[in-house]
Amino acid sequence: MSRTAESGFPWRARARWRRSLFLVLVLASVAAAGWGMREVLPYHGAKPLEVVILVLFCLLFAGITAGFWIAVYGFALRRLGGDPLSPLRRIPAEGLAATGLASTAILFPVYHEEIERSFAGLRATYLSLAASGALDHFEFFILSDSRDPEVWLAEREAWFELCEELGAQGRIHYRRRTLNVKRKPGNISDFLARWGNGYRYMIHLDADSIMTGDALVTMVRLMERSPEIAILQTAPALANAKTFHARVQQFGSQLYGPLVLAGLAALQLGESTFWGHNAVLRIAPFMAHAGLPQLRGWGLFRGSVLSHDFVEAALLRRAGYEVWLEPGLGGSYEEAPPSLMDELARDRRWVKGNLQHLAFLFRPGFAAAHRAAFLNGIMNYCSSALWFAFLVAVTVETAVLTLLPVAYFPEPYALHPLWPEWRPDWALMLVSVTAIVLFSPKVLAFLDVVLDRRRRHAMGGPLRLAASLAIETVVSSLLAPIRMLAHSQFVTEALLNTQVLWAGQNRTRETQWSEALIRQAPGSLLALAWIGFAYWLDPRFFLWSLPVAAPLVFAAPISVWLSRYRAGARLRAAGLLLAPEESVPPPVLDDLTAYRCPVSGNLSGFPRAVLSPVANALHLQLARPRGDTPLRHRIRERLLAICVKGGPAALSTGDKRFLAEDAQALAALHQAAWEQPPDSPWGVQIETLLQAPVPALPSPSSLEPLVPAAAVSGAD
Amino acid sequence: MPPPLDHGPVPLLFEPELLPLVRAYGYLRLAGVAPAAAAAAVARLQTAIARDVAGGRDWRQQLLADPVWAGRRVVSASPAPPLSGRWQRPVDVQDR
Repeated sequence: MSRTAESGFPWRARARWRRSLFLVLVLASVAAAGWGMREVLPYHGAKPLEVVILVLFCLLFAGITAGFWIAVYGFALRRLGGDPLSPLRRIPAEGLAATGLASTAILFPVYHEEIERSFAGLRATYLSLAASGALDHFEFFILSDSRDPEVWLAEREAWFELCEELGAQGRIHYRRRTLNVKRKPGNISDFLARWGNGYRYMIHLDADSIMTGDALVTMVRLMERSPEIAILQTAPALANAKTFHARVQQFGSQLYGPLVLAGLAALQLGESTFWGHNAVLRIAPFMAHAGLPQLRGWGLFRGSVLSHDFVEAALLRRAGYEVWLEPGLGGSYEEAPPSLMDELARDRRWVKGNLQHLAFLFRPGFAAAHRAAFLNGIMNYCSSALWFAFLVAVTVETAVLTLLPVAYFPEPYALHPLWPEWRPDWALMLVSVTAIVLFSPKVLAFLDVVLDRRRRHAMGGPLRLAASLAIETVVSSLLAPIRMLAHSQFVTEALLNTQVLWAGQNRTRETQWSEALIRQAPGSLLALAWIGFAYWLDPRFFLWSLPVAAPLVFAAPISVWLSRYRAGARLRAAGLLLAPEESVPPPVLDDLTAYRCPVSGNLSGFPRAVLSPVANALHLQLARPRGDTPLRHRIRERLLAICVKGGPAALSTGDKRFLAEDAQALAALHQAAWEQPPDSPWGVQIETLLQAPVPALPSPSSLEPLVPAAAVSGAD
Repeated sequence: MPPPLDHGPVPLLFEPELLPLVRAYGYLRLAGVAPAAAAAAVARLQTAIARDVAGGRDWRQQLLADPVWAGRRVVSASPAPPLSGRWQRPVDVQDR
């Protein structure tokens, strides 16, 4: 089915108005600032290097001024009570509450994630949905692409334990692909190929996503009331931040997020983007129209689409469906990376996917708003490379002006000399305007909170809020040059199409000094060389370079300190960088932090699968039936002999995978391992397992060590 | 005669592996058998082994034959929902 007609709701004309005005405001701002920059440059743009500087400045200024005007839009709309065009506001609340639900699959793709954290999010979401009374309409699918048997065996056991704890058998499903073709999009496709026709909607969650039952129910009801919508994206707020770094990001998202997202949604309207998670999708049009192309270009632009969500939104819009961002829906959360190192590792993957969108920028049929979204995603990272180029160009310009004699007649036979002219008044004005454009969104966001009694109180009151804003501004200013240099490197790597590992994210670990020093040393040395050169050139240029260079010089200590849990806890105790959910925690976030996964004990997935009678029985049930060919038999016997004698450490990952997928091997190993002497590798593993609290028994009274000597010697 | 129960550490019984009884107890507890039932089963196992000094069935077989084994956790993985039909993502029209 392809739709060309709109919903009848007249948002397109309003979208044209809003976007035209936005474009005029941005272009006018850039033109004015560009003119100012031209006046500041000594030759007023008459030399090629100055033209380069001017163009780079205008491109960079366009980015920050777009952010400024989006924040102004958002502020105005929020002060007026919200956007009347948003799906949530245009459907009366009573009508929405009376709308029925439909069968919905909640998808939870995982790939080598930290099991306790990811399952805690799923569990909290499930409990919240159960509390809302709408559980019957929803089913959960854990879609694992994990390759390492240590991980997927533990995932499977954690799934079983979760089902047992919640009584969710038949409602939470676990599916692991043995071949993870096309990564996450392939995982979703695999779900759709198997079960897609059984549900009307699917809700995508990430491994760190949490959603309340009320939000899930409202999303489905909105979709039921709006058949023209194919994707409804919520605006997830950052939550559960513990480290200093994560708390800064969380505070920033909680402070600026509502403003920026309201502005963004007001501009995009029915042509919003999809972020890949915390969103509901209508399955039938998705299956009919969102087929991702295989890129047929060269290098980066060949193969699978890495960042699929933007493309899927554009494809569905091209087919006539609408994609909406609904910032008014609360109860949607995700987490921030705990450290700068983890944030950069994530960005390294995202850069490649975003740059691939260059291949879609000029595809026929896409909406202009989606082309703008592609461009915005590309510029998110390329602007760093442009900033780097701008700094290089300014340094060269300064060096030329300082070291070389002034050429008054650069062109032969010129009648008039070319005088360099310094305009400090213009320079001061340009710096002031840039600062206003950069910092105004922060001031507007501050006002937005201060004018809202509930949010103001929940974020610590005006004084603490102002102090938090100051901390966030300082930390953001410190991080900006470090991100700039890292993103410039990632953009270069992406264009050279270097391999990027697809790995699960760290969500809990602090940054070690050694890894920070190794990662940040090249940038620090480059910054030292730059400021040394700047000082030698002109002390005033040295001072100008300091705000960028100093954070780069101290990048390693900054990234280590920001990753600290203790610093985050102290800030929270002082009531700084508070998120509203920390003052009044919703039950869904309480459930998240309360969960302790029974599988995350002192043994990893494979030894547990061999030794634990419960885990072994589970994996035996779920092992694929295999024909016992002579070759398979020989391999099994050989690996069993190695494993029984040498323990799990004697096996490679591939060996473990072979044994873990083979029911006969698992049964034989279970028997043999328990008969090994205490000083053997398996004996040591058994000892470790027996020292752990009983992991899976429902009664709290049984949470005791397994080997109380008295219990045995005192047995009757 | 059952062995006396008031001695100190549990003796290591299984020659040549010297498997301690705590392992048998732990096995039962891991399988979900309640503490008192597990301890009783281990006492019975100890008795049986003491009677059968020449060895016979191994300790795990003995435990699996003990009545308390019926009280272990039932492990039953819920099946996946029935397939709702094969589907393949359509190729983007630009690539046809």
